[in-house]
Amino acid sequence: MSKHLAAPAGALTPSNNANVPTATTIAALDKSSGTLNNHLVSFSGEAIGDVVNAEPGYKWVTVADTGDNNAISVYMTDQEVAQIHDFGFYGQSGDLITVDGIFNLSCRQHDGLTDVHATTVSVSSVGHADPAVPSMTMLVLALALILVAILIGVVHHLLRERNM
Amino acid sequence: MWARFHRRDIPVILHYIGLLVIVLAALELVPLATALIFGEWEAAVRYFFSAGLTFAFGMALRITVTGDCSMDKRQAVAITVLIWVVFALLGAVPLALSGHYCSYFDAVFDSISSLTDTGLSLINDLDHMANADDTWRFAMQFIGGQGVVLIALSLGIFTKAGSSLYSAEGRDESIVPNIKSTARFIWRVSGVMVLFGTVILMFICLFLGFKPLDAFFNGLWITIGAYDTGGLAPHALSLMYYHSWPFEIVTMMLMLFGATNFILYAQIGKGFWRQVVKDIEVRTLALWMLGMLALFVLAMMGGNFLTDVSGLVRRGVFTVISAATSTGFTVLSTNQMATLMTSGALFVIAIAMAIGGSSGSTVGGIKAMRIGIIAKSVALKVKAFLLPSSALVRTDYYHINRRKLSPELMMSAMVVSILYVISFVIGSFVGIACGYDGLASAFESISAAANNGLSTGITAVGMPPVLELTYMLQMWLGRLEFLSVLAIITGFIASFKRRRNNPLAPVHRRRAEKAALPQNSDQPAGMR
Repeated sequence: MSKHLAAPAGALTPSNNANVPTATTIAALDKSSGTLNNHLVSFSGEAIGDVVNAEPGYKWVTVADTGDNNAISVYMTDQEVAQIHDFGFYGQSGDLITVDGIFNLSCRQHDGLTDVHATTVSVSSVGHADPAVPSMTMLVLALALILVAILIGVVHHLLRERNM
Repeated sequence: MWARFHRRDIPVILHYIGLLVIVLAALELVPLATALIFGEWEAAVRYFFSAGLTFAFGMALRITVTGDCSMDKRQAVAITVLIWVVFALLGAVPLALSGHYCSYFDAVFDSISSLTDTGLSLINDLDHMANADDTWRFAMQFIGGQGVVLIALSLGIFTKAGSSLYSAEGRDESIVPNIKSTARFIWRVSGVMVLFGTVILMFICLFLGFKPLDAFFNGLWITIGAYDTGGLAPHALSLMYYHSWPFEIVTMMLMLFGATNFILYAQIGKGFWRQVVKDIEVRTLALWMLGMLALFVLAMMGGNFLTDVSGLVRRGVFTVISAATSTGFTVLSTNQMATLMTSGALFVIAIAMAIGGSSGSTVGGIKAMRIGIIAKSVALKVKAFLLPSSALVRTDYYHINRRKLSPELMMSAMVVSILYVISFVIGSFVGIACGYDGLASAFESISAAANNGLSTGITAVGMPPVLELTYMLQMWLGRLEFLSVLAIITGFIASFKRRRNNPLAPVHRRRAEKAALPQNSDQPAGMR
């Protein structure tokens, strides 16, 4: 959060034309104080996690800024979800998608949730495996530490025997 | 007279800390197993390294005593106080190596937050974190919620000074006469709760479309987060990720079960329902939650947020219960909390967080029991005010059985409550000094000290280190309810101070012995 409450950091001025989406970011939507509320917005982000069932014909998809915690729930149709192949998790980058939709700071249909009701969803780049490589140095160090621990244990046992 | 520590206490304290550290190393095998299940090889190596490091460190501390040693109360309290710091420092190692934290300091913050069941977090890119890391964060929540010492008591590591350790962790009642049996009873209750919670939430996740393994782990993690009132979530959107009111209702139930005194489970198990209803703690907590809920609704009516009944019931009730049980799960975004919620509603949530749930449970905060005792004390003073000074005014309360309200109990409740308030105020001032809004600073400070975890957004990556350190101290002090930590700090200070008029101190004993020896001189011993 910015250092003061009610700081609309990064929020863009909504477009005057109701049919033209306002280009924005998830970070800006996360901090929006209401300027973009109920407006048509357009933003890009990584599709992450699980696809969650909503009302019949609809799903929830979490879209996040790459590399940080800014995320937003996007309500989309089953057909729109079907376009997305990869969802991000550990070792996997999800599809980068562009969402046009209505931003609701407090959605009436969903009991006050902050969400975006998608009107169009397109995949801008396909996700890919992003495997983290195990550190061999760490593995060797781990084995060495366990050996040290066992050695200390033996010394401790011998000292106890001598003291008895 | 202040309790002092001697040089001979140090090996004993280190020895027992070492034993507990070895237990921590064994617990690190849980995330290691998770990493192997999910094929997360990098995380598996990281946890193997951390377990090795922790094991070696524990063995090194253990060697400080090579003979038989028993501990006294001072040493037991010192171990309990220090073990939380040691666990936080060691528990942060695999997290810091995950690359999801800007620094080791931030990882320690999360480690303390997990152990103390607070739930504030400085993690980056949570949704790409390894399942092993999530398991470790929730394992730490579980260890902290149950109490580090409880594990040792259950394993039979501590026996003689068991009750001292138990009370030093903020619990002051034994459920069954034997402290070891008490520990086992708590584990049994917790085990049953976690099992039921996991199964129910797993089925809801399956219904929501999760894959079976993901459904199981999400069910397990949220159950631990709710029952241990920790509030850490495996996703950046917290409970909003699941988009399910049945999921939220089950979570609310688990939070309420977690905020209930373990002793009441024993009462219910024996069929003593009437005693449970009469209990001062149950009554205070019920009245308190209903009062907070009513105030929250009134405060929200002044704004434009959650004006419809369904929104207010779903998000408002959840938020108040999450605050009052010191859990910190949220169904509101940080932005909604900071910009849409009225300052009155934010204030109500802050006060609900400050009090927390029952003593003898996993919650933080001042606790309903103390509020009940303070309320009874006020009533007693008011009653006595107009009566003649010779009149004997007494009052009693019901908690397991009928008890007299003693001056010692009143003082104890007041002292701990005042210490919490002092901590809230200090944390607020540090926040304000760092340039944050006053109400937001107070909210965040209460959240840290009451081990809650709800946030207006101050706790975020890049926050001022001094504020980060303040919150860490508040989380630690709040979890241990101040007195044990203050006793140890004063004990250590007193140990370094010059000893005056202390007949037990070696220097005075030597002088006294010397003075008592027969002297050749006619001059009195004290004059030479």
